[in-house]
Amino acid sequence: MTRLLADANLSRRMVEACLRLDPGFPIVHLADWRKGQHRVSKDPVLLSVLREHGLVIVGFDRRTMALHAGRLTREGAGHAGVILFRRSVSQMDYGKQSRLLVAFWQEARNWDWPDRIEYLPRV
Amino acid sequence: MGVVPRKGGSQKKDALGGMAERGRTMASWQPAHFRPKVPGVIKKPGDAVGLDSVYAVNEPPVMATVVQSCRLEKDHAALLSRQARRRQLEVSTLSSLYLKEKALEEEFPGIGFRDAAGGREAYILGHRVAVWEVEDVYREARSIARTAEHFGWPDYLVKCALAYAREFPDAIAAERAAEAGA
Repeated sequence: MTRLLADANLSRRMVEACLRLDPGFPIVHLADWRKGQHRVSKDPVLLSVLREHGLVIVGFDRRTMALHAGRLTREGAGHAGVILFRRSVSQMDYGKQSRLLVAFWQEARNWDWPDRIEYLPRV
Repeated sequence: MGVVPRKGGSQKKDALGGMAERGRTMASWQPAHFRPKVPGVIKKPGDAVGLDSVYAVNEPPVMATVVQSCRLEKDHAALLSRQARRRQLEVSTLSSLYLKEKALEEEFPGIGFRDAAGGREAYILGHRVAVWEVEDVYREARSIARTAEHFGWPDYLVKCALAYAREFPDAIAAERAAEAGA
């Protein structure tokens, strides 16, 4: 069952790398999810849709995403969880991104994800 | 539409209650960057500054401005007023924003503008990726083809983003700094 959704600022290659590390890794790219219909959605809309589907969004750190997520939490609407790669991670280092995410998810998959924001690598 | 060089001081309000810029320093023909605390934002005491009220015009180095006036149909004027109220802006500020961004969108097909943590941000229309993010990947990829492959896009979208970034490097750097802190 899919649990993670890779945002548009991540490459499909990262998703492929995750699946090479763990063929059952529960991730899908935004462009491939629901025929790409949310490829254009703004952050608040996407976060709300993902909340309905219980999907944690994974992307590169953008302050706006964290702000929108925080606001949804404060307003009581909530979100299904956000994982952000710190900008210290190279955008094209799909190997590192996938290793970080797969290792993290092994530990974190049973966490209580609603309204949680996590950054990778963890400090 | 007439163009009149600004001489400062107040000017008559037009039918929209302020379509004409009145003695204000505005970013000229460059992407609007918005921050709070700038003339044009209607702010009540105690208002929180959040993503709904980031339409404060950037404060770039002082640039010459001109007064431009135009006539609008009543319905469109009312729509503009409603949108300005919703965004806690003066009508003139929102008009200026719309004009600038539309002009830029015409000049750089494929580029749009959206709200972001630091204000308005240029992004790739039809996608969720900011221009500065495309530029960042291009710096690593060092080729348009590899950048396009990274995003799974056709080359022209990358070219479009890079063309815009080349034209407005300072604005793109500011947008990157606002979002990624670097």
